[in-house]
Amino acid sequence: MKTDTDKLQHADEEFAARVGNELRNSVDKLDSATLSRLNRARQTALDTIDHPATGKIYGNRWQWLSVAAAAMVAVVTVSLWQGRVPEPGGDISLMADGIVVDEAIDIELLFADGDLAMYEELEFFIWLPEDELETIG
Amino acid sequence: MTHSGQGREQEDRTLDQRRAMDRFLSAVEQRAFCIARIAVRDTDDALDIVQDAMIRLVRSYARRPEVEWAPIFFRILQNRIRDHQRHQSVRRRVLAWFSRSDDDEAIDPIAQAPDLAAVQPDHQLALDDAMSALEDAVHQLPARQQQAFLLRTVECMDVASTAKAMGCSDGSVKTHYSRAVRSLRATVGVHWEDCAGEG
Repeated sequence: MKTDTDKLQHADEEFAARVGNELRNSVDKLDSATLSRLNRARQTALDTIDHPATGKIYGNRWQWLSVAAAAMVAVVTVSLWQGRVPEPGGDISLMADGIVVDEAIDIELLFADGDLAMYEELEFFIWLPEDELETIG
Repeated sequence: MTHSGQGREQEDRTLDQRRAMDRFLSAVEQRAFCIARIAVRDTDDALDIVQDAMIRLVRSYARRPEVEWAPIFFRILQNRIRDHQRHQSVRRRVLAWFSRSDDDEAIDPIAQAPDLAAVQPDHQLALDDAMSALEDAVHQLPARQQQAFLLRTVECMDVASTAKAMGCSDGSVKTHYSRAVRSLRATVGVHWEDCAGEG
């Protein structure tokens, strides 16, 4: 004797079978334009089988891009650095007293983790030499 | 073996692989399209999704044994469908947010006009196209139930293959499928029996 659960399950199965059948039938009724587009999509996909390394091409491209970027950064850094150094035969004293010394100070300031209180009293330090000049003068 | 001999062998292998993949894709593409169309309710998007799934299968899994292609392909397809649905969901939220802010400024008469194409509950039973109603109902199912239902009924996959394609256990497939069928029967069962059952 069938229980209610069995009947329900049977009805579900019957419904699913009928619905599934109709859905599969609807697949056979696709219009020619859709079929043509599906065919083109398949051919496009199959064309990539001859180029299984397509993913690798992207990989190589990225590798080359990163190498090129690193090289460009290196070139820019070197050219900026050298651009600040006077040409041979130029003003050596400037290089010795001015730029190189200034650069050393800049770098020292950049990497120093000292007291920042000086910057809070920056106006005082700017005023100080002017005041000293006035006193001397 | 000579270098040209090796090259020839490689060409032959690629050709065989291409033929096998062509056969497989020809066999599944229409059902895959049907599944995608029901899931996203847009023909162009469904075609894009199927093409993308095909390309990904060919590129990454063509060298795998043929018996594995079906679950892998439908898994890729389901992932693409899910991605699409997420994008659509975000897009809808953004559009809703903008349209809400626009509402304060002006009322759009076109937006206010009645949607003649909308299906009213009263008219649902009178619809001639039972298939359309069914597709709508399947589209409304939760994603996992929809996947289980479509793979089992349209693709005729067994429970184990469906579980592979969905990335879950056999038990989960049975649960999702059973809930989907129950839900569809509750939604379109009467309509389907009236309209399609006669055919």
